[in-house]
Amino acid sequence: MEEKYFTARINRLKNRVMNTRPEMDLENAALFTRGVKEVPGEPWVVQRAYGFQKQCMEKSVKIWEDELIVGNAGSKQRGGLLNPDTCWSVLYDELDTISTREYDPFYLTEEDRKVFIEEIVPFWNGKSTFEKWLVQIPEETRILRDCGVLYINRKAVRGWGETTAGYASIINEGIEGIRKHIAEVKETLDLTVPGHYEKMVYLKALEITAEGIVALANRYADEALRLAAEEKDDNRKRELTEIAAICRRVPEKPARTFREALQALYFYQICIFMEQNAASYNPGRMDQYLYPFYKADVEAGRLTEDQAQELLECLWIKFSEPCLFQDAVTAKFSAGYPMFQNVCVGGVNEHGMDAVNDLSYMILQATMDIQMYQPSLSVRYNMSRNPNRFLKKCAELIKLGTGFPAFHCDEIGIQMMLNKGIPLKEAYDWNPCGCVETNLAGKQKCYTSYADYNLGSVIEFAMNNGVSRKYGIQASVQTGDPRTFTTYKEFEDAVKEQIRYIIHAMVAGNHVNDDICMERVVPALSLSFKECIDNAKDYAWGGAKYNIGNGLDAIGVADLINSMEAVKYLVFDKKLVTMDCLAEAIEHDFVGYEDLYKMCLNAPKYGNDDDEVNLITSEMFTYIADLIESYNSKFGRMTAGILPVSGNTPFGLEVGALPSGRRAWVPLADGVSPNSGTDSEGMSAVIKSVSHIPHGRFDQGTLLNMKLDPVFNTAENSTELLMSFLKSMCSLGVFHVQFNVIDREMLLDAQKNPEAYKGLLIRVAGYTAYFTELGVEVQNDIISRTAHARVC
Amino acid sequence: MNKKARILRIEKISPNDGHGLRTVVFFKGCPMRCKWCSTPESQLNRFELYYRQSKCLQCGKCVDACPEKALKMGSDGVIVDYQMKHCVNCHKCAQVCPVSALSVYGKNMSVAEVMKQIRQDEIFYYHSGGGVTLSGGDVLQQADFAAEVLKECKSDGLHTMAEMNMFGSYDAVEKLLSYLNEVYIDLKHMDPMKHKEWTGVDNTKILDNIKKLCAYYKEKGRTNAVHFRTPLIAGINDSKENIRQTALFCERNGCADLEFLPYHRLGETTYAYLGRTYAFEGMKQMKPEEVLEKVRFLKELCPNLTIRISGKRI
Repeated sequence: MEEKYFTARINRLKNRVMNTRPEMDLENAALFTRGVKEVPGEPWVVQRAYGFQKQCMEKSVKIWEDELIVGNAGSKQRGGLLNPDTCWSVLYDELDTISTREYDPFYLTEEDRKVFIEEIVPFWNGKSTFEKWLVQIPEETRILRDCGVLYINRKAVRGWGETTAGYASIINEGIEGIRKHIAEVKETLDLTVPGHYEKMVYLKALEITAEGIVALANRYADEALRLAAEEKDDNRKRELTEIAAICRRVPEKPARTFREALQALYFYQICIFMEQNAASYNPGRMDQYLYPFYKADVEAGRLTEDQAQELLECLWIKFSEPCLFQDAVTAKFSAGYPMFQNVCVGGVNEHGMDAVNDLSYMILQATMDIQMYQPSLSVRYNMSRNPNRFLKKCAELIKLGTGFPAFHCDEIGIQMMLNKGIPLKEAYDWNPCGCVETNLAGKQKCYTSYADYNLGSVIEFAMNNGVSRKYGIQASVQTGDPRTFTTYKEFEDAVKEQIRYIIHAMVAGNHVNDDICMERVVPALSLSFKECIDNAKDYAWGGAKYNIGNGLDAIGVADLINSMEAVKYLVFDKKLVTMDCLAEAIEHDFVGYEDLYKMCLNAPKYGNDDDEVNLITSEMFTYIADLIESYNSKFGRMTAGILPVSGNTPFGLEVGALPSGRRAWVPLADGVSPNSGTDSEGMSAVIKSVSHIPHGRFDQGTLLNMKLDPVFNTAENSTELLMSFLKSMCSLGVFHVQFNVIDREMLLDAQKNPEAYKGLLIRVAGYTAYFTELGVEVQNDIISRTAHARVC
Repeated sequence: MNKKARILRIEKISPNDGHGLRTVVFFKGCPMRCKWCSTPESQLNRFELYYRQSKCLQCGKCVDACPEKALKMGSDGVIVDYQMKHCVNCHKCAQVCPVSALSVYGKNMSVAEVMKQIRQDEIFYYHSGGGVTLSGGDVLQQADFAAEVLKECKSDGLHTMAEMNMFGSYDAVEKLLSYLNEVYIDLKHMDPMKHKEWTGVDNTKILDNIKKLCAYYKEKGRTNAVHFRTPLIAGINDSKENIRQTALFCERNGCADLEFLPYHRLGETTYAYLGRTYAFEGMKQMKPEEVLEKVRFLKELCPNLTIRISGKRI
C-alpha cells in the first residue's frame, strides 16, 4: 500500500479488527425479546417492530478509537447476533461447543449464556422459524436432506439477507422523507375498506421502526459528544465533534456530503443486520449512488481525493466487523463468518452507457489497500461501454493475488435479469449479490440461493438405482439397474430422472419454507423498498417491486459432466469396460480396480474444449434450466444458479466414488470449474468449456474459479494479455471468473500433489512444459525464482 | 486437404510466440541436432515412445503387450528398447499402459484436424491481436502441409507466423511466404564451423536462405515482418564477436528485431524420458541480467535494431 497521511490510522483500525476474537453477542436478542413482551396483544408485525426499536433505544453504543465512520449492530466489535425468533435452538444445541467448534467458533461468555437460558429460551421455545421448518419439511425432502443430497436448512437458520437494500433512498431522502411517504399512504386508507386495517397495522410497524433508526443515530451523536468532552487530543476532539454532527443529521435527513452519505449507508447497514442476522446484505453499486456527493464535495473544495479515499477505507474496515452467526453444519458449507457484503463497480447507467467514474477506481483502490475479506468486491465489466483503463485496473488487482475482484461479464448479468422478467431499463442497474447472484437495489425480493443440490449424488443414484451408498437407504427414485441399460440414452434418461425427482423435492421444500417465512417480517429492510411502502406490504409478503422464485444451486457440475462422459466413452462408445465392471469398481471405490480407475481418469474431461464433453454440458444444463424454470412459487418462477461457496466439500463427503474417476468421500468440483487437475489444455480451453453452460439462464449466477497461468503475471505485456483474455471470456458469454495467482506455496504443493496441478504450465519464450512433468531439480529452480505472492 | 503431417503437439494461448495470444503448432522432425535443444522430442521424424518412470506402476502390462518382446521389467521399472533393436514402434505398450507412463510423442494429423484446433481459439486471437504460429521441429520439412494450413488460416482472416531454422530448400520457404504475415528465424551461430559443431549442420545454406527471405520482404516493403531469435549459450555462441556478427547480419538484411533467449535446462527431463543423454548436463543456465551484460553494446552498434531478451525490449 502506498504510504498516505492516513495509512497509520487505517492500519490501526485494521489491526484492531483482525485481533478481535468473534464472540456471541446476545444483548440484542435479550432486548428484542423484552421489546416483544412489552406490547402483548399487538399484531406480530408491530410487536416485532417494537422489539427492533427497543434494541435501538437501549443497546450498547460504542465508538472506537480512530474511527471516522461509526456504528455497530451489537455490543461487541465482532459479535455474532442471534435472532431468537428465527433459530434460538441452534445456539441451544451448540451451547457447549460454540466456543470451540471447528468452523467459525464464537466465544460465549457466562453472562450471555445465563441471559440465553433464563430469558430467551423460555419465551421463544416452540415459536421459531427453524422449529416450524423441522416439523413441516416434506418427507421426501427430509430424506434427501438427511442423505446429503440437499442442503436446504440454510434459510430456516438465518434471516433474509441475499438482498440489496435501497441505500440510495436512505441517503437521498433520509428517514424523514420515507416517513413522509408513509404518512401519504396512510392518508389514503379507510378502515372500513376490507384489507386496509392490515395495511394500517403495517404502516404503524414501519413508523415504529423508522423512529428506532433515528433514535439510534442520535445515541451515537450523544456518545460522540461525551467522548469529545473527555478527549485530550485536539485533533480527535474535533473528529468526534464532527461525528456527532453527522450522526445528528443522518440518516434522519438527506445526506449533504460524501461523508454523510457513507455514514447514512452504514447506519442503515447495521440496522438491517440487527433486524435479521443474515449474510449478503449488499451495498451494491456504491460508485453510482455515492458519486454525486463525491463530485459535489470535490467541486466545492470541501473534500480532497485523499480524504475521500480515507473515508472509504474507514468504511471498508467497518464492513469487516460483523460476523455471521450460523449453525455448525451451515458454517461447514460456507465458512469464514461470511458476510458477503458485495460492493460493485463499473457497468452501465440507466441510458445503457458507460457508468465508470472516479469513485469506481477509488473503490478498487480501497480493496487493493485494505486487503481484508470484506467487503466482497465485484466488477461489472461492460465490454462495449467500459473503458480499457478500467479493465486495466481490474487486471492489475487480479494480478495482486487477493482473489478480488470477482469479475463479471455485464452483458450476461443483464441477460440474467431479463430472464428473471425484469425490464431492460432496470436490468441495466443490476448488481452482484452475495457470491455471484444477480440483484436489483430496493426492488427485488427472493432468496437468491435458497438451497443446494448435489450432482454427485445424482450420478451415484443413477448408478445405484436411487440408493445412497453412504447411508444404504433408498433416498431417491428408482431408475433401474444400470447393468440393464443397453444405450447411453438410457443412462442419460436415468440421470435426468434423478435430477427431476430431486428438484421436485427441493421445490416442495421451498414452498413450505415460503409459507413459514411469511411471518418473518422485516420492516427495517422494507423501509428502503419503495413499493413496500406504496402497497403497505412487507418485503417478506412480496411487497417489493419484483418478486422472484428462490434460487436453486447446483453443486458438482464437473462431476456430473465427467461421469456422464466416462460412462458414454468407456461403456457405450469405445466399449472398453462393461457397465457391470464399472458399477463394481465404483462400489469398491476403485480399490482393486486400478486399471479401470486410470481408464476413468483418462476419459475425456470437462475443461479441455472437447466437442463430446461440450455437448453433454449444453444438453444437461439446458435440461436443468428448463426443469427449474418450469416451477412456480407464490412469489414467481423458480430460478437456477451455480454457486457452491464451500459447499462442494461437505457434499463430497456424502458421495461415493464416481465414474469420472473421483474417489469416494472427497470434495466435488467447485462452481462451474473443472475438477482439479483435469484441465490440461490451458485457460482458453477452460473458458470455452465453461461457455457451454447457458449462463444467462442460470440467472442466480455461475461461479468460476481459475488458476492464473503464471505467464499472465510475468510476460512483458501480461496485463494487456489478461485484459484480452477477459474480453474473450465476455465474448463467449461466461458470466464470472475469479483468479488464484500461482505463488511459491502453490508450486510447492504441486510438487507434493501433482495430480491436482496437471494443467499447470511453465512457459518461457519459445518453450513450454507442464510443471508436474519436469524433474525435481528443474522444479526447484522455478520455485526459487517465483516470488511469494501475498494471498489474503 | 487429405494430407497428413507429423505434428508433435498444439499449444493454446501462448503469449510468447508472436503478437497476442496464439495457437502454436509444433511440427515433428528436424534436420538439425542442436546440443542444447530444449525440445528433443521434436527432432526425430518418427513418432517416439517415451517413458516416465515416476508414473510407472510396474504392472507389466506393457511387457505382455509387446509383440516383439522388446520390453523388459527391471528392478526400477520398465527397460525400454530405445535403440530399437527389437522395437518396431507399434506403440501397443503405450496403448495398454494404464497411467500413461509409456506414451508417444507426435501424431498424424490432417489439415482439417489441425484447423479444428486452431479455430477453437479464434475469439482469443481477435481480442489479443494474436493468431497462429507454426513451429517445430522444422516446418520446412513438411512445407506442403504447412502451406495448406496457412492458406486456410488466411482465408479465415487469421494472423499467421512461422518459426523456422531456414535449413530447408528455398523452394519450401517460398511455398509458405504468401500466406505468412511474419516470420521468426532461428539463428544459432554465425561461424560455419562452430555451427556445424554444435548443430550438426553447416550454416551456409541457412544464411543464404535468410538473405533471400529478407530481400523478399524488403521488396514488399514489409521490413518489420522478420524477427530473429538466438538462444544464448555460455561458451558456445555468447562471444562478443559472434553477438556482433549476428546483430550486424540482422541489420544488414533489414530485419525488425533480434531476440536473445537465455539458455535454460527446462527440457533436460525430456532427454531422460527418451532414453537419451543430455550433452549439456550440469551446464549453467543463463540469467536475463547476464544476457543483458553481454548484448548491451548492441544498442550503440546497431541503433536501428530492436534488441530483446526473452521478449522484453532492452
